[in-house]
Amino acid sequence: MVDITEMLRRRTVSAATGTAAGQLTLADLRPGQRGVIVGLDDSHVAATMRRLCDLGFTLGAFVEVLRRAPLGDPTLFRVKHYEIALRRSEARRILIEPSDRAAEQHRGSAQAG
Amino acid sequence: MHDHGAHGGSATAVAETAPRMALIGSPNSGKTTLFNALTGLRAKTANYPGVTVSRSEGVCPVDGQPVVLEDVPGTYSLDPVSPDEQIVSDLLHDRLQGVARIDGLISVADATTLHRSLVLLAHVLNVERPTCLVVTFLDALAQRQGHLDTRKLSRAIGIPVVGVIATRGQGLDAVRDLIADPSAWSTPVVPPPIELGEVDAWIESVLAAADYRPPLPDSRTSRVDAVLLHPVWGTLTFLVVMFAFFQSIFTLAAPLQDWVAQFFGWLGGLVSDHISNRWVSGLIGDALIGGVGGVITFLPQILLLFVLISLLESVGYMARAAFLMDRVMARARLDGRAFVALLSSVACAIPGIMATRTLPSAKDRLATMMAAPLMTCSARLPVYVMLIGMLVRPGQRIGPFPAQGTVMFLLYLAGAISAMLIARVWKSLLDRRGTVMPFYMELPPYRMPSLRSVALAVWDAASAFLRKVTRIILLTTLVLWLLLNLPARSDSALTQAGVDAKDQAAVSAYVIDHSPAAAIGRAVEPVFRPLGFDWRINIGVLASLSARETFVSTLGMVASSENPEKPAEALEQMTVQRGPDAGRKLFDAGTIAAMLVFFIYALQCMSTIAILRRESGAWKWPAMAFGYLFALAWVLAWLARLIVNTVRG
Amino acid sequence: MIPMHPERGATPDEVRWVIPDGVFQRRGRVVDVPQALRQLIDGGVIASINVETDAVVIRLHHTEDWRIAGPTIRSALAAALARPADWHFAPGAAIRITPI
Repeated sequence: MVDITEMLRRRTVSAATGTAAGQLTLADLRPGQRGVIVGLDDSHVAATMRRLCDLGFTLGAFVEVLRRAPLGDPTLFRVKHYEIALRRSEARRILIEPSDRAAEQHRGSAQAG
Repeated sequence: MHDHGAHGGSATAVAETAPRMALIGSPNSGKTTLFNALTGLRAKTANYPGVTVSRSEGVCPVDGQPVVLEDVPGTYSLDPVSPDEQIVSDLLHDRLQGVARIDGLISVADATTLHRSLVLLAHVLNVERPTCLVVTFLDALAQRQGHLDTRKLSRAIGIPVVGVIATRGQGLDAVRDLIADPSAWSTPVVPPPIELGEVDAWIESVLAAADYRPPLPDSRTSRVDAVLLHPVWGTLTFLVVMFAFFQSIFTLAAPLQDWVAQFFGWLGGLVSDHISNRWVSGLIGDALIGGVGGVITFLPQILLLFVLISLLESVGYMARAAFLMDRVMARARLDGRAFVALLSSVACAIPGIMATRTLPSAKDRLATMMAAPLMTCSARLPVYVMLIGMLVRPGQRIGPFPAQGTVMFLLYLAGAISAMLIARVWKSLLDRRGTVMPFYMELPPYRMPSLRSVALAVWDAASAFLRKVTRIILLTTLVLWLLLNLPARSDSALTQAGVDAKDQAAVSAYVIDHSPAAAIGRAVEPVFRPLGFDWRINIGVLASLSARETFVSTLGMVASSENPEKPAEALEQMTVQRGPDAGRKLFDAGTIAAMLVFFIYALQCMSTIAILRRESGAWKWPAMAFGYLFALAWVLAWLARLIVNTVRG
Repeated sequence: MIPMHPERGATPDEVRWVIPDGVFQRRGRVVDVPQALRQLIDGGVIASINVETDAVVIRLHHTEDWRIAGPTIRSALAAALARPADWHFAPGAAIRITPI
């Protein structure tokens, strides 16, 4: 039987191309702000980055920052139409470009990626 | 806080030949609700062989034939980051020793999170086992202006798809029909892709073909969270909830407790009135009714705590509590979910330890399990109430605060802080390499609590507690009573010893003084003398190793033998009989302080040991817990006594 | 990447790769495609490719199996769909009339 787990472990998480140092990350956004994911820090633990992708934080995905916990961590995000909290240590591995477009979350038919 | 103990035994009987299906899906997908709905109360829980991962198996009758369902741990992907998920991967690849092969997979996905939930399905379909998809929470999807055509989804993915609203029982028959014949399930013509960009494209396309309209954000949840997760209002609400939680321990349950205490008092009176044989009436009255009754008095309070915890959990507030407390728990190198497990331990460490199943990392789980017994559980309450009553007069105040309440609060605080420190120490020991486990936590929308699940959860927890009472406490109290009151002395033997056979109090004092229990208590005196304990307290402490509550009834038995009318006075007046500080009042401030501190730390609960064994999968963990906690308790109790005696001059 | 998913076709060797509307302006038999997909035709794996309203229908050579060839064809198709202008149709292929 094909070992699917082994194949999944070999997936590569593509880093952003042409990123400058000091790129904006998810940890830099404030509640209410939105961004689109343009890259993932491939110098961080690979299994963690793959898990973030499996959770919906993929290249091209829109993320909205909903709220931050009173003590500063974790932060609640909306991605792929659901809500999930990440700590700063993971959020800063996700490179984003701020987006002002309202209602970017696709509704109904998919658009070309 | 779902499936706790064994609900029924019939799952074992069905065993080998029945077809086996595994339910696979992410946490919060409604998988366990579906599992409960399909298997009813015919489920049992255990551990996967050799690991700290729990396993649920149940039987679902389909057309009169049994089908074994296995509720696999929730997972987001077949690319595991935790032992639980590794188990899922091993199970699907037939790599688990001692676990029978799975004949079919029932993938469960929440209709409101399909864009993410289908990732796991894409992985699962590559395992090439008959697979079907059950989509849950269709009612929530519709309510939030979403839409899904399950028939079209089925054609697009290539497997059977059934929509279910488990709480209303809709769709369950369709699922049962499906389970009847997995060989008839359609399969995808080409397995879905697993490469990161490709799987997104597949999901988009499939959902478009199914006319999927994702749900709007749940407005009710957003509005409630705007308050409950607000920096100021959220924190305030949290503190109020915690305060109410602890208040309920004392005030709300009080009338019910009084009622139960009265009932047992009446029962005890009946016994002593109607049973003439003093020996039998003592056995039933003191040992059985007194010992067990004293504990059942706390049942209303424990039930109330379980109801509160269960309600908060099924409404969805516990996830918010974990979100708020995550930063604090991070100081103990744990995450917010450990807070929920530790909070549950305030009712009883047993469901608290079981609640560690929600923690994704085995090391987190073990560290939290080792710390859970330090949270002030209800079993300590009778002991604390008794000892505080001897230490502090009811009217006394410390500044503006009532002294008794303050001491109780400090004891709870000491337990909580110790739990955090200990969790941190254990986590550091277990995780020397400091492996990074990603933290992520879904905050599911607020849902109306299913009264059925709440009732089930409360019943689970309550029956675990009652089992402890009826087996362990009853047995211990009985054995102790026998050890204290045997051998019965004949009148001539008594007279020879200089005891007036007609004086009941003197007779029982003599019997107890020369009983096997007393011998044991004296034998361990060297261990406990530095703490100020004498053989009478020792018997109580040894008895309480089985269950803390027995400490009170044991001391009660010893005291009432000296003064049957007013056992409390007897305790007050006891003095140390031998040794360098003979004549000292036994229950003086230093000794009481030592006892209180001892009870904060020592692991005195056979049920907790049993649960630690079950949840951790090995005896070494409960053994270590018992050992280190005993040593800690001894040292800190000694210190407490030293400090109190020094302060008092 | 262009969203697409496979569905069973009219016969076992046919698979409909469902794609969004508007990728192609024409329908019918395809005679030339970019690169990797071209190689699969030349190599005797793919027997024919037809573009329909909402899907690219690919028929495999009868000695091939979709379970085995599927992943390779998917990747090649995804790459080819990125360049719809390089798809050439057989003469007489219908031009899609897009509703106004």
